[in-house]
Amino acid sequence: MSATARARRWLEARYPMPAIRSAFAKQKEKLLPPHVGWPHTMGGMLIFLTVNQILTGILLMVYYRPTTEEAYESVRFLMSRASFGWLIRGLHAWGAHLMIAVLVLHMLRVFWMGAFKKPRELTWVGGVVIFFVTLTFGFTGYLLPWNQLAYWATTVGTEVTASIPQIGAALGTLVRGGDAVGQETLSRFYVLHVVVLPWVLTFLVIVHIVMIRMQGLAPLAPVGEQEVPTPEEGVPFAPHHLSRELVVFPLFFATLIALVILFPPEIGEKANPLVTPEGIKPEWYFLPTYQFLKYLPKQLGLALSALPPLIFLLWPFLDRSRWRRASRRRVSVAIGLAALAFSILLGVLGHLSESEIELFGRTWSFDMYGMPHAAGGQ
Amino acid sequence: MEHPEAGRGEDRAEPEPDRRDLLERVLALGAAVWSAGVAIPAGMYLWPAGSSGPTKKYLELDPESLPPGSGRVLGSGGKPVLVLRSKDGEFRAFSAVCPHLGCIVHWDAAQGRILCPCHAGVFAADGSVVSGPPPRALPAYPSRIVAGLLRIET
Repeated sequence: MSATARARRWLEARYPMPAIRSAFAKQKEKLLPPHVGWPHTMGGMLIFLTVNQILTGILLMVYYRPTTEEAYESVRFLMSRASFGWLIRGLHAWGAHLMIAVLVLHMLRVFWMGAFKKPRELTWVGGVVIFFVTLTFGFTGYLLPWNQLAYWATTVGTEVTASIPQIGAALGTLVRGGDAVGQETLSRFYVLHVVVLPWVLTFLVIVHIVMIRMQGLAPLAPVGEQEVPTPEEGVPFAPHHLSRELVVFPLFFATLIALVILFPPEIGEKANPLVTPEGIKPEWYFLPTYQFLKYLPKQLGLALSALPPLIFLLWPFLDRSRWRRASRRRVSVAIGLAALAFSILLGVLGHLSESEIELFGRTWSFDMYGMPHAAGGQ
Repeated sequence: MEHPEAGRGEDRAEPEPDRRDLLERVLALGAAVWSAGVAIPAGMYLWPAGSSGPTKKYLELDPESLPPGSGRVLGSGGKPVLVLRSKDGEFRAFSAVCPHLGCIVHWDAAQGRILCPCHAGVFAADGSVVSGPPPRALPAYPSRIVAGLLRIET
């Protein structure tokens, strides 16, 4: 008897193996609605990215030292001296960018196809919470290399928190661990980034996947119709959809590696609490909020900028028509697209603000509101 | 027609509190008290215990190291201070932290202004806001010469 057969028999004598096997087989053969296609592979890529972040994160922790004296040097060391350190950090940094980008695309897919509607409202709410947790990952992880840009982006970010009326000052102190960004902040962000958030995210992702698996993927039919795909029209998860994931995965992974090699993440200068560099900006996914806050008085801007995330979170309870197809939900889709366009516009203005670019032989300088001024020609 | 189980449903709506109910309530209360007992110290632990950095309440500078018409940012246990010396030799000290969003301001000798690099906040040499988003003036710190050194009380 072969070793695997003996191991199987050993397990069968102790656990209900047929029941376990059939539970897995049932998940594998689960029928998906006929419209399920390439856009549905983004969920799978997000699982890959989550695993990538956890594994590369563990490897980074081997060299990283979370103190204001050594953090910057330890990141420099692992990038320049440790074998493939540049690759590990590159995969982690670019993995984080891609994770946010793919999350946005995944949510757009769900929004466009009306997949958040009854009975999947809570799957959407959980997904939006996962998005917020991922943004918190980005914010806390950004500080860890302890470089100038990170230090000052965190200072501005936590000051924004501190200007929330009533509770802001206490919240800012709690987040920073003091009045200014320093060792206490680094320790707090480190613990959040490597211990608290990974467990929270793992839990939320498992719940998200279980909910999707229990309810099945949403059809395009109106709410209450064709909820379960018939054997004639449904397509089994394996091999039909799985093969799509297996086509997308190598392309996606190649893109990630290419980004790491072509655009390696920089580290810049070490943080200096006495000198604020010119034109500090947050990561691209915070640019729309960053720019929005510039146009309004601080408190009004904060109050208004809290609204879109709240509406986003509760969208399934606002868009309550029975239609799922985008063509039948014109108002809902128009609001979504307008919000997306507005965010992109603010992001571009934020990116351009307080910078200079040369266009058609003229130098344009953009003010803090992102408005161009001719700064002289040639 | 009355539903055959209607009567029983009413019974279930208002059950007599029995021993099991009481036990459940006591357990729930116990769990709540225990959770609070654990959460309160944990929450208090998370409140910053204060910095382990220097606790000196003032900062000293050799006045001759700052030529008239110039300014410099000094650190003092995480509290950056901007010291200015006017053309006629008078010293002024301010918090170097911009009251808008916490960036560090600097002295621009050419313009004779204090500038914030983050959101284009501009302050006059007396710390008052000239333009930009800062909501108030830079807090001033008293300074005096003690034993040949400029002492700034922060």
